[in-house]
Amino acid sequence: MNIVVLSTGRAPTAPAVAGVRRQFAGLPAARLSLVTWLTPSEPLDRIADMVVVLGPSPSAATGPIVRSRVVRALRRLVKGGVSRQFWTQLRRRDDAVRVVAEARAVIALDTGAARAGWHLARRHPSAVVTIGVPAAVRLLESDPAEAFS
Amino acid sequence: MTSHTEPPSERNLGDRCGERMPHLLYVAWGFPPCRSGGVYRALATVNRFAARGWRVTVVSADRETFIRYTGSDTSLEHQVDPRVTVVRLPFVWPLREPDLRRWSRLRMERPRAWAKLRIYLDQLVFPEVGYGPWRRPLEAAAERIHRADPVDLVMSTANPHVAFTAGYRLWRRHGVPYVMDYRDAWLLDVFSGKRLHADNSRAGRWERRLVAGACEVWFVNDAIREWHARLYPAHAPKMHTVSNGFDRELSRGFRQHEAEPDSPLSFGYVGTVSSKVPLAQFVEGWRRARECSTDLASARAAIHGYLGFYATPQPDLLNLFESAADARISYEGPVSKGDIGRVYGTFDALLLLLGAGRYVTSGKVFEYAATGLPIVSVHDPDNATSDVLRDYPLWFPASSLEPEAIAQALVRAAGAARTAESRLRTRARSFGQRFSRDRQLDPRIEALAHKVKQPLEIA
Repeated sequence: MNIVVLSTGRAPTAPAVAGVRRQFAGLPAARLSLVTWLTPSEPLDRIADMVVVLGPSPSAATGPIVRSRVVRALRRLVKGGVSRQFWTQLRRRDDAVRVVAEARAVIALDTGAARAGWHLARRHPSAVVTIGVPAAVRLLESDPAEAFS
Repeated sequence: MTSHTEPPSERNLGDRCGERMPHLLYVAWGFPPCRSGGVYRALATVNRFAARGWRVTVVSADRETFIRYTGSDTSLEHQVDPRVTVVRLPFVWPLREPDLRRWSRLRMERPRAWAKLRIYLDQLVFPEVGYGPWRRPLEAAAERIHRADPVDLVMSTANPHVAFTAGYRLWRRHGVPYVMDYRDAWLLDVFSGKRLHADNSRAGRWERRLVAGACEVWFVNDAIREWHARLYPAHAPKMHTVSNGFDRELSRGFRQHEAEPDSPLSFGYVGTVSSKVPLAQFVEGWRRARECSTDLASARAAIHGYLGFYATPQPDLLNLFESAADARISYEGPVSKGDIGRVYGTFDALLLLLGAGRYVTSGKVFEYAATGLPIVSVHDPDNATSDVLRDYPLWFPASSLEPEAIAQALVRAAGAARTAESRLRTRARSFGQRFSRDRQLDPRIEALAHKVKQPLEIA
C-alpha cells in the first residue's frame, strides 16, 4: 500500500516522519513517500521510501536577495502562496505525479498542502485523501478490503 | 434515527406493579462510543436512573460523529444498561472535516472566508459554533419521543449547550420539567475565571432563560455552583453540586501492589492531555527529581489518554513527549474504559496534572483516590481538586508549578510508594470509596423522582 504525505510546513525531520509511519503500523506494510516543499532537515533514507522536494533549493532560498515588501506582494499575487506554488510544482514534476498516481492514501500534513490534496482527491477517486494522519488511518481501517488490495 | 433494542421483558413496560415508572429523556451530544471525558458522567447518570426504575431514552449524536471526530471507545457501548433506549441523531461538523474529498472549492480556495461563513451559519439558530445547527433536529426528536411516550423529565448535559434546548422546548410546549447538568460552564472560563460572554450576549440571554425555566441546575463542584448562584441569586436554591465519581469498572482488573524494593517505580497519568495540562512544567520537575532521587532516577512516567479533545492528536504535545523520552517519560496512547483497572494496577504512584484555575475539577481525581495509590498533584494549589484530596492520606501536592516544587512532591511520593504501610494504603482506599458515582447521584435522583410525581407549577 502506497502512502503519500504532502508537506509545505517546517522542513520534515526524521522523528516527525517516523511518527507518521508509526501511525500506520496496524495496516499492511506501507510504502511511505514524502512530497515536501522544504528540503528535509536530515536524511530520511531509512524512514521514507521516497522523498520529492518541490520547493527552491536551500541555497536559492537563503541567497542574498532582499526583496522589498512590494516585490514580495507582487510575486505572491502572480505565483500565489506556498499552497498554490506547491500544487503547481507537484503537477509539473513527473516524479511527484508518478508517486501520487500509485497512492492508496494521500495525506496533507498542514493546511498549505490541503490545496494539493483537494485537487488530487478529484483526480484520484479511489485514493483516501485527508488532512491529518489519524483520519487517513481511520478511513483505511474502516475499509480493510480496499486497504489490503 | 436509530435506537438499540431493549430486552423484550422490559419493553412497553413503563409499569412496575401497575405503577407507571417515570420516563427520563436524557440529552447528551457525546454518548458511547464517544470517548471524551464527559461521556463517563452521562453513562453513569443514565445507568443509575435505569437502575432506580426510570425508563430512560437517550438522545445523542450518531456513532459516525465519534468515530470520525472525537475518537471512540467501543467498549463503553457495552456498559450502557440494556434497558436504556438510545436515539442517534445525525450530526455534521464541517469545521472538523478531515476528508478533503468533502471540502468545497470555496473552502479550499478561501479557507479563512469559508471558516467565517461557517461560524456565522453555525450560530444562526443557537449561539454555539459547531453545534448550533443541531438545535432543530434535537427539538424535533424530543417532540417525537414525547409524542410516542410522554416524557416526565428531561435532563441535558453540556457542553455542548445546544443540548439544553430539548428540555426548554418540551417545557415551553408541554410543561415537562428539565434539569441542566453542567459538566463545565457556559459563561465562565473555568481556567481563567473570567467571563466568556457578556450579560446581553445571545449566550447570556439564552442561559438566563434556561436557568429560569429549569427545575434543577447541576454543577460538578461548589466553586462553579457558587459562581452561578451569584449570577442568578433568585435561582440559587435549585442549584446543586453533583460531583463526578469513580465508576464501577475501575474495580475490574485493578490490583494494588506494593512496589518491589529493587524494581523501578512506575508513575502513571490517565486522562485527556489538553494544552491546559502543565505537561512542560511536569517534564522539568521530573527531570529535576531524577537528579536528586535514586528512586526516581530509574523510574518511568507513563502517560495514558488522548492528546487533545479530538481524534487527531495535537502535534505540539506529541513533540513534547518525543523530547522527554530520554527522561523515561512515555506516551502510551488511550486506554479503553474496560481496561482501566488493569492499567491502574501497573502503577506505583499517580500523577494528577491539571490545568490552572479554582473552578477546574476533574473526573479522574475520584478514580485516582479510589485506587489508594500515592497521588502527586501538579496543578494550581487553589484548584477545586485540592478540596477533594485534602484528607487523602497519600496525597503529595506540589506547592507550585516551579520545577523544584514538583520535584519535591515527586520525591516524597516515590518514598511513599516504596515504604507506605499497608494500613495507610487501606485507609487511602477507603477514603476514595466515598466518591463512587452512585453516591453522588442517588440523592438527586431520589429528589427528582419525588418532583415528577408532584407536578411542578409551570411558569
